[in-house]
Amino acid sequence: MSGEAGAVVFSCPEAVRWVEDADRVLVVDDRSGETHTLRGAEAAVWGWLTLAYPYPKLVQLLAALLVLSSADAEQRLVAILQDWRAAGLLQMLEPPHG
Amino acid sequence: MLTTQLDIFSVPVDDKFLIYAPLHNLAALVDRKAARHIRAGLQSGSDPVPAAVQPIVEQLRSPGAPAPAPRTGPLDDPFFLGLIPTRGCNLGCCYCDFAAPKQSSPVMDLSLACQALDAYFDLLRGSGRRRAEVHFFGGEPFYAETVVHLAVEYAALRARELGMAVRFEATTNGVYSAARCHWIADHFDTIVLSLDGPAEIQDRQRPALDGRSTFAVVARNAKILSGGSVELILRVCVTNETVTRMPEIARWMGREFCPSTVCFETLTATPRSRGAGLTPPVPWEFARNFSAAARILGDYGIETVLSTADLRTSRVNFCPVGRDALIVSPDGAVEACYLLQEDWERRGLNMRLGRLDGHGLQIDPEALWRVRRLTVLEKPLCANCLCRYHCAGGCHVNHNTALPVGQFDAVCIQTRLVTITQLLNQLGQHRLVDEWLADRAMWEASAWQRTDRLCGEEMRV
Amino acid sequence: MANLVVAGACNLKCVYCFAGDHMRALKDSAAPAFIALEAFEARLDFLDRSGIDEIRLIGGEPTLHPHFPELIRRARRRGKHIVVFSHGLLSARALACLEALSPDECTVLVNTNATRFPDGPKEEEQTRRRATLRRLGPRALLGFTIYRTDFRLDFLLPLVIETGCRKSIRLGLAQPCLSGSNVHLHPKQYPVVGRKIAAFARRAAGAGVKLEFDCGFVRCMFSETDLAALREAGTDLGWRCNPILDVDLSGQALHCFPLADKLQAPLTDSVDAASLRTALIAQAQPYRLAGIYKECSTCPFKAGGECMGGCLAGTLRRFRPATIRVVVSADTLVTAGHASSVALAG
Repeated sequence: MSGEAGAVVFSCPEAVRWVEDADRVLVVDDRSGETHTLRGAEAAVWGWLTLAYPYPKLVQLLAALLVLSSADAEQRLVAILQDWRAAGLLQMLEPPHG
Repeated sequence: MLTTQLDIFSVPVDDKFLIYAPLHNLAALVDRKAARHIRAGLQSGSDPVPAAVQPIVEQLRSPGAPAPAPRTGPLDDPFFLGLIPTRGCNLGCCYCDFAAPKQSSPVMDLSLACQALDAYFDLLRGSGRRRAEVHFFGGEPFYAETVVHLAVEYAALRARELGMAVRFEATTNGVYSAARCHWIADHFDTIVLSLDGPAEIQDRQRPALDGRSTFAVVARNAKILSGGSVELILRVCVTNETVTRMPEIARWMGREFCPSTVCFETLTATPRSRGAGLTPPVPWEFARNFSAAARILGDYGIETVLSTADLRTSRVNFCPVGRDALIVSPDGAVEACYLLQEDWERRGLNMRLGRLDGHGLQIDPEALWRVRRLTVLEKPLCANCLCRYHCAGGCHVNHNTALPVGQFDAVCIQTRLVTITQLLNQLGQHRLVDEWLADRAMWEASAWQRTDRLCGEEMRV
Repeated sequence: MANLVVAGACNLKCVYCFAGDHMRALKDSAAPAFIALEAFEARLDFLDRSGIDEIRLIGGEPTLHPHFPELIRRARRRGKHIVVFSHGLLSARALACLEALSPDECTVLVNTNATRFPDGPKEEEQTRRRATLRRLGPRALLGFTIYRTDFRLDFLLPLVIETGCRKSIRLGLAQPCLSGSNVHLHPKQYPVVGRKIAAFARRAAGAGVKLEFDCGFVRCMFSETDLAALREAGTDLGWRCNPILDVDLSGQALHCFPLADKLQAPLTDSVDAASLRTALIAQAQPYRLAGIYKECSTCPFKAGGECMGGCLAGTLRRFRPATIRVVVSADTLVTAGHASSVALAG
């Protein structure tokens, strides 16, 4: 799936599987056998992502959740997404050409 | 005679008497002679009684549990915090008389939802409570899903920070995507899902706003909720058309889904339901089919409940009203009842408790006191009824209890029949239940008895 | 311990069968449905080098193997104690060869609610099974698979007495295969099941019969009162889920049948059971952090190692793929200071 021009698309690799437990989201990468535990705001963001909330709405929700300004919430959200990308939980899809 | 011995009831069942003392945790089926001995034994205080009735009389002579009482004291332990994200809804149920606009109802602001939760947690923390309970109502609460998706995460985060536990519950129509249903299954502790039966029943009674079928979506989501950790309660609205199919519905639900409870409720007649040709079922027919359905579901380990005949606890309030539930509307009003203001005002009731504003919960103490007095103890109709500590008079808005003692209506008769049925079933008297419900004279004698108190002024036995 | 699949076919159709997917795949692949004698010898070699002196034969229905008596003979020649997991509707030939062994040499675990019929065994099957059990006597151990909450166990007590089989009943919970294609209990139903089991254990104790638990039971499905009753009744309690080692016809060692497609290791000429178990435990490890309930993550029994958190297949079925897709403008990433890690679109 390609992204819109001027945009980056984050998606989850097929090998990544997850479950919601009482106090965390547990994510397992089948490729490496690595496990990742998400709590608090990160767990909330993961859940909202599975509900296909668009990016601007995620910022709004995160701002309300953590009582942050919109700018701070956005910075926090981007950091979360990039951390997950570095951990292999998210991948960046190729942007479109032209 | 002890006060609690006034709450010992007796109803005739065929040639026997069902003695029921909810505060003494006792139910017994005795013959006429034994019933007379029991009555005499209670009236005499401590005189010896025949050996056959001695254990019963001894238990009834003990003080028993204290009668449930209305709440008093400060507002420090609300029953729950209720949030109404919207009064809008995506269904056009043919019996719904909810007057709020379906698609244009206001939606609660995200910040208001967070304020309500903050105020609630502050109240709990101030009184040293460590358990929070948040319920969502509508219309259809997930019709304003973003509010719910935020409120749940916000409450969970706050609870964790404060070292508290928090439970989430919602009553819902189940019409949303699978992904959304999975999120609900993951995050909620209890879901009450309205599902009236197999496809032809569900689609007749609970179609979408445009008249389209909802069965496939709701059944799929019922399976998702069944497969998740959430406790699933299925709520079935029973009408004149579906009452004889209750056993079939029970068997289907037991096989297809994993509910902890199936709650059968009878239709409350509305102009809309009359227009659709639907009426409440005949009470006796409902009781007979309720009994059959309960046996089927019991085999699956599933509880069967009629909300006015829920024998599991004793209470003076049928619903959250009077139990300090704080229900926040989309406009910030804080009320004791989730129904519309126009509905309670029609009954001459005022369920408004206060407001939520920038300074937190502003609760009017007089309003709190007024609502707390809305208990069965104030309902003349219920004064001598064996169901008083379970039914508690039913819904304040939808059931008129300002009637003389014992002038029971259809809701009362239905409740009494189901209560007696359940008590007899608990005593293992299944064949008697069937015989009794099959004999009109027999069950009428039980159901229409105007006063059930064993030790009242009139001879009961 | 290791279970050896000797037959990939069965002539019954239990709705809860967790080997169904595996047997269907075998059938579709047109591979032989029964183990060749040469391969069976290799299995015996494996048991020898693993130091296992018990051979556990499973299927499908192992007694359907056309050379079943020969398998038994070869296993006995190696001094193995024979355990056969059977539906109990044996052919005359299979029954005769098991009857020829002493109770010390042989155990036949008979699944008493195995059936061709979707609603449970019919009288004809139970009559035949009863006749088999009479002949097997103390060689037989009764088993029952609980797959619905409206189950009844009381018929087992007179069956034990009447047939002279072992005074023990092995209870299993119908676990899901990974696809969920079989009928199985949901963990939410476990407490209801637990109450009924505890009540039955009390009655069974009165008849001198004890209960044993198969894998997948969990600590929290029983109240403290019921646990005490089970202990008093001499129940072999266990909250187990470990690699069984089910060795299938192709020579793969499976964690267990429900997880046949997910967790497996090849049986080579040099590996033993211990190394296979170690490999399968390592494969399962990421998922063991979770359990069949979301509360397993905070459960002290699980944290303390007393309970495994229920069936791993049930746990794995809780996991979902993450259908996540979010579009972020490249400008946003630049502004947030992540330009170096972004391939900017033109």
